[in-house]
Amino acid sequence: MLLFSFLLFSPSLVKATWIAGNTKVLIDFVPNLEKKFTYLAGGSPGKYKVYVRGPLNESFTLDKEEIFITKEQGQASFTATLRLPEKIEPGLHRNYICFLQLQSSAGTIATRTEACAIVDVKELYEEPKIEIELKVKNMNVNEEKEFEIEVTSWTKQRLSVKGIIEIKHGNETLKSLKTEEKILESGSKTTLYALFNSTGFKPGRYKAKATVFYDGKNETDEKEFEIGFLHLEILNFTKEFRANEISPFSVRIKSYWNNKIKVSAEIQLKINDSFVVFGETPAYEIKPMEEREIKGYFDATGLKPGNYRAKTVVYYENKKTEVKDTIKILPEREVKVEMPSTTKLLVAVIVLLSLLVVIGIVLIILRILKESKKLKR
Amino acid sequence: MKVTNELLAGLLIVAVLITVVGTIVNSFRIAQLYKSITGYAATDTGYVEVNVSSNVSITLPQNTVDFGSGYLKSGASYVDLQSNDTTVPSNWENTSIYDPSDLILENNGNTNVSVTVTSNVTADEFIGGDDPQFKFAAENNESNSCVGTLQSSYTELTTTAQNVCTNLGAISSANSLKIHILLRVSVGASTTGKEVAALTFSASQA
Repeated sequence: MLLFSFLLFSPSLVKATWIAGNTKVLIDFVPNLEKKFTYLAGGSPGKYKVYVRGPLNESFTLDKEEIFITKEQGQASFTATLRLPEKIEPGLHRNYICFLQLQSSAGTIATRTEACAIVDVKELYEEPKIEIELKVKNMNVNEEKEFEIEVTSWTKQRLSVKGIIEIKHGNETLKSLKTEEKILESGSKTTLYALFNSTGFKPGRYKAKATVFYDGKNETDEKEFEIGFLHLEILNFTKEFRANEISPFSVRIKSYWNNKIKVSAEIQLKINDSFVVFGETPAYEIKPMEEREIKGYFDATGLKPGNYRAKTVVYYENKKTEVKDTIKILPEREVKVEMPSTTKLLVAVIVLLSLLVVIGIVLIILRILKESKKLKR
Repeated sequence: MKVTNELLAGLLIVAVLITVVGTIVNSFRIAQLYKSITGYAATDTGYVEVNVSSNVSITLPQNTVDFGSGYLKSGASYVDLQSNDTTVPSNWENTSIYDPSDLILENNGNTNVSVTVTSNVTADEFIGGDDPQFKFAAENNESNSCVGTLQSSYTELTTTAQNVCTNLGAISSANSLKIHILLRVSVGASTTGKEVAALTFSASQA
């Protein structure tokens, strides 16, 4: 039988680690370029290691490789100097300049943190090369939205680019949109646009697939988007209240509409064959496609305990959604009338003041009597 | 000297008069002060220069997970110890208090960050045995904290960096993750190998 001890032990010093300065830099490759980066770093007291990782780590020199952070000081600065070589491979070379907490205590499993700054070095390809990113938007039925393809040049060549966007449901292509043709300068970015009209499309989730053609080659990217419709679903609501009390209630709703919408809700109980409003919410603004709770107050004054046929109605944009259910009215709770402490204090002050006034009046009367006796004598 | 009522009333009236007149005179004098040399600013235009640099910072408010001590029950082939489940697994005989909890990682900087985790040992080096597992999974501790790709399914901890969240927010109400740890102790597991595992959580600007 083997006994294991799995205490993930960490000393109290394993807490925050931070690095501040220009924490993400992009540099275009220039042979033999020299650049200095100064950072401020800190964290919980203890020993830290400064190091560089990444494809160009050997091109960096650090002025400090180890820093001790004291409780009083809390932070320290260091410098990383980059001297680029004569030549590097084309592409993006991501390098991390890191401030790493050094674990000093032993434990079965220890945790530690590090914070890193990024220095990206970019070198363009000789041959044609691009990167693309499709940007789509959620929309409603019978709406028109612009879909975008962001194209980034990774080549020293000037290119001509054009694209198509296929709207798909599952594997079936329902529509194909063409973009204009544009010139893409070396190392630059451009955006290709295509208009999509959702008329004739059912509400639901769709996929857009973009393909950009350039110099006999192509790049693709896919994104999902939703076509909404004007509908609110009631997911849940409060179903128990206490007789003769005004209590809060909530209604959980889900919007399928891709615009902001104003919503309010009511709870109605069936009394003598007709529905009467007992609870209302103020108007809430619901975000596109949002699921959330809206809150209001239910006035159960005069209602007898028992089960009532009820409906919750949600109103929005001249439409309504309703759900029928049973609402339970619970018996009144036994109320112990207790005077609030502020009222108690007020009463005490009034009593004290009254006493003082009475004492004052008595003293004045006594004095008047005394004076009148003196006068009589 | 006998203090009469008339004298007392007179003194009271004088005191009240001095107070009222003093208050009025001082109020007028204070109102005139800005015309002489005082700290009162004659114009209300100022210039403030601010240089805001980005700050990449993470912290582990909960940095321990305690599975305690124990052993695999005889006849069992393995046991999974999970930091997000405080129930003692049926195949595990704990010999101390079993009360694990998840690690909590927070972005307390002013920029969104990408977070990775690296272990200094593999499951085989750490626990050994027939089917050792040393895994992690991440979950939003505050909703919408991770706005990028969250590693929500259990993934083996290795000596290379694994994604935890590609874009962890910096807003104080949505900047925190729970990190679940899973340890599988199986038949043949040994504590004779490397017994210490160090998890390094690394953050860089997203």
